[in-house]
Amino acid sequence: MAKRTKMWPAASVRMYRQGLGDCFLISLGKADGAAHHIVIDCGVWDVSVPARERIKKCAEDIKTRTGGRIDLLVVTHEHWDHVSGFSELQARSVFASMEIKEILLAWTEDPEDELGLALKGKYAAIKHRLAAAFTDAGKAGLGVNSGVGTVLAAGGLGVGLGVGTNPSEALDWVKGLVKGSKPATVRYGMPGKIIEVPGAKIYVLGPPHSEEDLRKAQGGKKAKKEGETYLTESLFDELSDLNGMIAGGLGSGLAAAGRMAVSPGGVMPWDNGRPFGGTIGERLSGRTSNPFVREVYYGKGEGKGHAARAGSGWRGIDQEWVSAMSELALRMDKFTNNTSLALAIELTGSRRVLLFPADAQFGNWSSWDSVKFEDGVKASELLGRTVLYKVGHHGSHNATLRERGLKRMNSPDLMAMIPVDEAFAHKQPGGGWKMPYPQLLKELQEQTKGRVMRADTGLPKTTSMKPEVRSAFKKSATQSKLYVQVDL
Amino acid sequence: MPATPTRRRLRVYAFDPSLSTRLDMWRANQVTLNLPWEPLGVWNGREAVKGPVGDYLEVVDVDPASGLSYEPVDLDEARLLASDGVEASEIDPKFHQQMVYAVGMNTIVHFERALGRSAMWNPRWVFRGGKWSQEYVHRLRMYPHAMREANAYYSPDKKAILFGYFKAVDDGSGLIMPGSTVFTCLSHDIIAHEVTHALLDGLHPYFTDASNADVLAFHEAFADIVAIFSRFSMPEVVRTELARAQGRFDAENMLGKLAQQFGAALGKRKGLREYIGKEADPSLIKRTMEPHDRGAILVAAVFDAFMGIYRHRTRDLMRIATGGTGVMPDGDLHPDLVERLSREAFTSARHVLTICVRALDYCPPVDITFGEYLRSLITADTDMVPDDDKSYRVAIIEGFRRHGIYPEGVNSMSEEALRWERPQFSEGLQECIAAALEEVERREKKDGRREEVVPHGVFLRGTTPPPHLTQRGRAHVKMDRACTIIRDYLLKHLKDEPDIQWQLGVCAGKRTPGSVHALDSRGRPSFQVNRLRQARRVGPAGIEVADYVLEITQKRDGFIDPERQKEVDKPSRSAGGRSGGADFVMRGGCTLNIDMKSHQVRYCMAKNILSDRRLERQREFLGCGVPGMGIYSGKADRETFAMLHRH
Repeated sequence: MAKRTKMWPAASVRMYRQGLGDCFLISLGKADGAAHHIVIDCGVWDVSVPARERIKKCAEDIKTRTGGRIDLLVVTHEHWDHVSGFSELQARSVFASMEIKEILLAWTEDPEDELGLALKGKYAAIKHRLAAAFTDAGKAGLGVNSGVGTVLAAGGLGVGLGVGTNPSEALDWVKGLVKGSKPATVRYGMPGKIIEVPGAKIYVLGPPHSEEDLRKAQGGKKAKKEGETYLTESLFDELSDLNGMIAGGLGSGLAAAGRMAVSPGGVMPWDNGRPFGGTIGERLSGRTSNPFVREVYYGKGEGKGHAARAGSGWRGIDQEWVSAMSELALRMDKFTNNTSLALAIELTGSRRVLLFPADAQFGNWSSWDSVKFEDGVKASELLGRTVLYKVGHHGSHNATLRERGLKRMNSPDLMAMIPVDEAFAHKQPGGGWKMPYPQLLKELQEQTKGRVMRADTGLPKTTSMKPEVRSAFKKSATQSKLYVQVDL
Repeated sequence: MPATPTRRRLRVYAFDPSLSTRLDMWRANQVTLNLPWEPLGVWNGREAVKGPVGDYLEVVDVDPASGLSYEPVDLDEARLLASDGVEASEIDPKFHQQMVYAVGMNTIVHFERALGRSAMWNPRWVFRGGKWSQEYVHRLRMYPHAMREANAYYSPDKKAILFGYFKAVDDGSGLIMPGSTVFTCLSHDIIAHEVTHALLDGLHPYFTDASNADVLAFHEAFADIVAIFSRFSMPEVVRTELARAQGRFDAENMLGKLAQQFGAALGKRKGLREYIGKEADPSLIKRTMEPHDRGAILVAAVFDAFMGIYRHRTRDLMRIATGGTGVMPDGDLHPDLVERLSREAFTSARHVLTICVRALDYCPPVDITFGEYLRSLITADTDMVPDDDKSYRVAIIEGFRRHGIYPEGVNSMSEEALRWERPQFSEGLQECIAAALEEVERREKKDGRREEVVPHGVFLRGTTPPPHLTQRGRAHVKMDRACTIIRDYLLKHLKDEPDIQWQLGVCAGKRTPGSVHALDSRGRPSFQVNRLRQARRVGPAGIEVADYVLEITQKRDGFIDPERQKEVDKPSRSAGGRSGGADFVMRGGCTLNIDMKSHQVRYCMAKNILSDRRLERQREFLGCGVPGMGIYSGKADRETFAMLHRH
């Protein structure tokens, strides 16, 4: 530290290149020339060994650059691609060796917030039941619908990713830092709150303190008319009937099949595994003594082109009830995205803003206009002064609002950072994920005059930037294998 | 040896089990369906295995969510034959199997009677030997206990209907015991609805492609229409309802209620309850986008038409019964009057159902709208009944108008304006089509001589018997062959005549925009000829209309970004290349109704593949939240109906 003679710039932002996931280090220049270090999230989808090594290196780089001291650690929401770095499996040891002064979490994690507690209780119950159901479905040899598996895993419904990939466990470790030998203090971000740190004011925009807003993953028809999100999907994601569905026999299917321990109180006291009671029904298997089922369902009699497969071929329904659970889990996943802690970091002096909305989706973004800050600043002003936009949810279609979002970020100095790994996203089962979403990427490029930095491809090519911004950008931006950095 | 029976009688619930515990309803709730006889069972190589597998349906009672399978019902067992099948029961899986089989077959019978030919299931796409091809599917599969979920749906991929069961929650109605098990496979309406989805999918495979707000809504509406009107075909039900009305005779209300009860067990069909038989709101259609609710508007329009027809048919009876006052005396109605009124309701329902089904042959093959369906209804009915003396068509037009359903591109809601125009085909195109059909007929005659005859009533091995062993299978193979002949013929003669092609809504040959899939796997110009059907219909006055119904379709890559579209479509690119990375699929093409004798094209319902307006409309629609869009991929989900029905 003493070696560093150069003063820190007003703000220096490092986006790490660990893969598909968020990990940012913001270093704010203080008056005395030192820096105030803020880390926002640390996670990666990929659980392969090379990915683990990469994220460890990122954590070590944070340690080096900060001198082993993180002034503020922000964890935006409980998804694997934002918290995996804090897990035993990945870089926990590195973080454990650092001094972490303060933690900032969303109000949803506040044990004194009643709505937070209620939501936690409500959704945790569903989540646990789903998680157990999926684990048991896995044991029973049933695959989860393609594409859904990894999404579920990120929400802690550990299927596709393997052992030790539990995001809530990782988040719990962070929370546990308040009890260490050098205890960290913890704060909870509530919309409207302003957190003063040396060199900046942090405005908390979201998550909205309303269950209804949190459920909105998509804009409705109105949002569509206004061209709000970049592509909207169906609005079937109302969570209100989740409990009904569960009660209506989702988890009970597993219990009935003897694949899930029936919890006290009984998931399904009504049929003890046999909907018709008594002894009606025979265990379903290819070796059934029921000649009709053997012939028709297991297709022993099908002609040559139809190899008799255990599991009953193209018309089989062995997995259908699992897909119903997947559907439910997907809704949970979107809900969690909406609980993202969305921050606008305003630099002291220049009043320029760094916007970090995490993975906020429609309901979160659209609530910002109603947020009241005590100094009278409005969300639209903050957006108007934004010079660095951390693109939401790895650039997916429904995590950047158009009219009330990107179009308002009309500062001539706007730049964007997308923590994305396009090749990895495209490889995902079920046809891949469109990350970044092409139309959004195009509009980002227009709005930033080409200054879009990506974790996978690094700094933009000179030719793709407008001539008037090229030289200034080159001076402020650097990259290495490990990170992309911009100084403000 | 005694003759084979001609009918099989089977007991079912007319509604669902919940009504059997209501004193006023239980009698009407148990009805016996009278179905055509067919041998049931499959051949396993050594012997016939008895079970509910017929020519159209196979009921497979496995329950993976509980890890169980249930013994199949043998409906040929002597005791069951003597007692009209298994007694109605919620707790006997054999009755569940009987119920889905019986109601399913009953729906198919109604549908076929109206259609005038055998119903076919949608063939299955398989990737074999490096290319995609269609494989004939002989039977629709039905799983009465597929999952533990308050859902039931037709799966286009599996060619199967999956019925769920669930624990009832307290809905406050007092009809269902909270905590009891509700089986969706015991609801007449749900079975009929889902089977109709499958039937419609067999006839119009692209009606599951949501390219505008009406498409999926139409699927839902049509399934509801068939289910509701097949309920009216149960005389016991209508009679009971009318008799119950007593002095406060308000048949309209009663019939409306009958339709409103539809699907009440699941408490899902809010739209139906709200729209049917109520004051119509013509502006509703503009703000209702959810497929079920939007579909309910179409159902309400058709129901209004039905009520208009019924009122017209019973006007004289009402005058007689009320001495011209229109006011009914107090007390029970005379049983003869009840009988006559219910017969009129029954007849009106059958006619409306027939009109609705027949119109399907007059619909464009892709991108259907409610307005186009109205035009198809009017055209189809005019063909069969040129003289509208019972004013059916007026009733239909009024029903649609009251609900704000107007077709595009017509300047009035008059019958003449709504009828599809006679096509203005050039002589060349007309000749080309006629010649193609002659070629088909010539080849058919030749092949016909060689065709083997299959003995009737043979048990077939497996659930996908070779097509040539069944009557419908042979028809499918024949149609397949004919389609190839026609496509090759049309392409040979039209491939470089874009000004002719547009009349068919397709585009092939030189100058084709790059996004249009206008090349086959070997790089030759192409579009698809999907279906050639023979429709022989006889009207009430003995008028016979015999048509070929020919469907031509084509695919085009759609891009959300118009700039990208323009780039892909650039004339400099090789014509008809596949561009890859498309955001959505747009389809175009036409349905041709061609007189079977003269080979004159009578109607051509075309949807131009190059229409910018349609492309823009689809883009706009996709942006507004279509059910079944994937989570991150933007790809359509394959289980369209599972999503639609999952609440």
